[in-house]
Amino acid sequence: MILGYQRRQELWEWCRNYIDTEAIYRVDETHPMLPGKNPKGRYTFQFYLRRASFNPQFAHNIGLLFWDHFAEIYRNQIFQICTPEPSGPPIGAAIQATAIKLGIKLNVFSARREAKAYGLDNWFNGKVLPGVPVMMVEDIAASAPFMLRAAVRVQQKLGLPLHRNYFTLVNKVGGYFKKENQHTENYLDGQLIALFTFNNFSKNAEDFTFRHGHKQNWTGLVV
Amino acid sequence: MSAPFPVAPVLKDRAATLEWCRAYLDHRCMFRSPPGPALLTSFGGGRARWQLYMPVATLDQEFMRRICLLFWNKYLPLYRKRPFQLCGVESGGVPIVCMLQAAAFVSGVTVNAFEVKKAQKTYGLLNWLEGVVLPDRPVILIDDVVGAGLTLRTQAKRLQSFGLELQGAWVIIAGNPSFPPPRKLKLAHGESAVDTLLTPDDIAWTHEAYVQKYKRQPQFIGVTR
Repeated sequence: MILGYQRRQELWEWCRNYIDTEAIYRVDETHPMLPGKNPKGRYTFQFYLRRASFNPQFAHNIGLLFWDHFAEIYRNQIFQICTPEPSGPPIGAAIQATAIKLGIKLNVFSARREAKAYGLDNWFNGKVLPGVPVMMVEDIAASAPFMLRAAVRVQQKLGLPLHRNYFTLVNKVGGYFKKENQHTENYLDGQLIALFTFNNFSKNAEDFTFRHGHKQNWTGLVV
Repeated sequence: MSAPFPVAPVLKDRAATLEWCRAYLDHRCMFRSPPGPALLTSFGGGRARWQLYMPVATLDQEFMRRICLLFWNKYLPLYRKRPFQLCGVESGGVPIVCMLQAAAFVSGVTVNAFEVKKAQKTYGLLNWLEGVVLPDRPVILIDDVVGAGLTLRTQAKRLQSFGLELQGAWVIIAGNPSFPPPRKLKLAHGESAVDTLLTPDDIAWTHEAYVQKYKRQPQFIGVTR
């Protein structure tokens, strides 16, 4: 642990509040339902976690919270990080930037969703350290199995062992998610370490207004 | 503790730092097909003899620490005169803007950043941009490499169509010897050259050119799978 209890709680709470206010879209009378991945589907809320991971204060805090948990583990057994594109790399950069500050040498590489269509037709970007366990790092552990697929490719295509931990900002469990849509059980080959679950956030626009005393109102241009 | 990350201290030796970065790209990030049949496929569908893999560098801690020093050495005074925000072009620009932002932040400078996507999201908000975008703050587009400049021009137009003011574009290397710099970009008040740290002349593009320049065989350290 590199943070004291109070500092850890402050950073965690800052990040929790930032996601709650700036990185979750919730339907209300002024925010219409969102089209889903399935053409017939409609969403009543959606996480936009890159609104958080591109915030420098948020990224800095996440880097500290990550190393608060993993610095000691890293000292005992070094690992490298694989970040599935497109949302993993900002988290990987946040962790790597903090590692520089802490004097920790860390290798990060990224996993593509599909092989590059030219050059080496590669599935991964960056360089890898042979034999060094790979921790998968993503913004959210959710129903889409991108992180799990990338983890399988790390093992099969690169021949690298997985680290026993996966790391995400959010584990999309809790709230009103059905049991079968809760994804913790997908990671039973290791242990998922997530900073937040859906229970940490306002569940809908009404709940948000109740918690914060005002309606949600994102900063900036949304296009 | 390793060398500090902050950008506030003056860059001590710009030429040496730039040369370190150039050498890193030349020695480690270029896949060069040896004499014989070309081993790479090209973007156009044919065969290619070389490919520059920038993520080998942009995901490397030490390379990016030095790039941050080089970038902010030039842009911090500009930022202090008139704050801008950074826009990373998916996907090569994303780790760069994150590291630039982090380096500035630990020096007490909070720089906003976001990403412009290759394709519009097909669900949810159907958005082109990821991150919080400040509508009234000028934007510097960031990418790892510029070829003919088509990607940068397309994304520049896109940002302008959203009403954003483009201040310029910055990339690490002008990376295709077929298109010598400068690459021009249309801004609201005329044209501007894309700012690049390195030019095509800085790299030995083919296996033969590398052997002739360094008298040894090239080695690529990136993942090939």
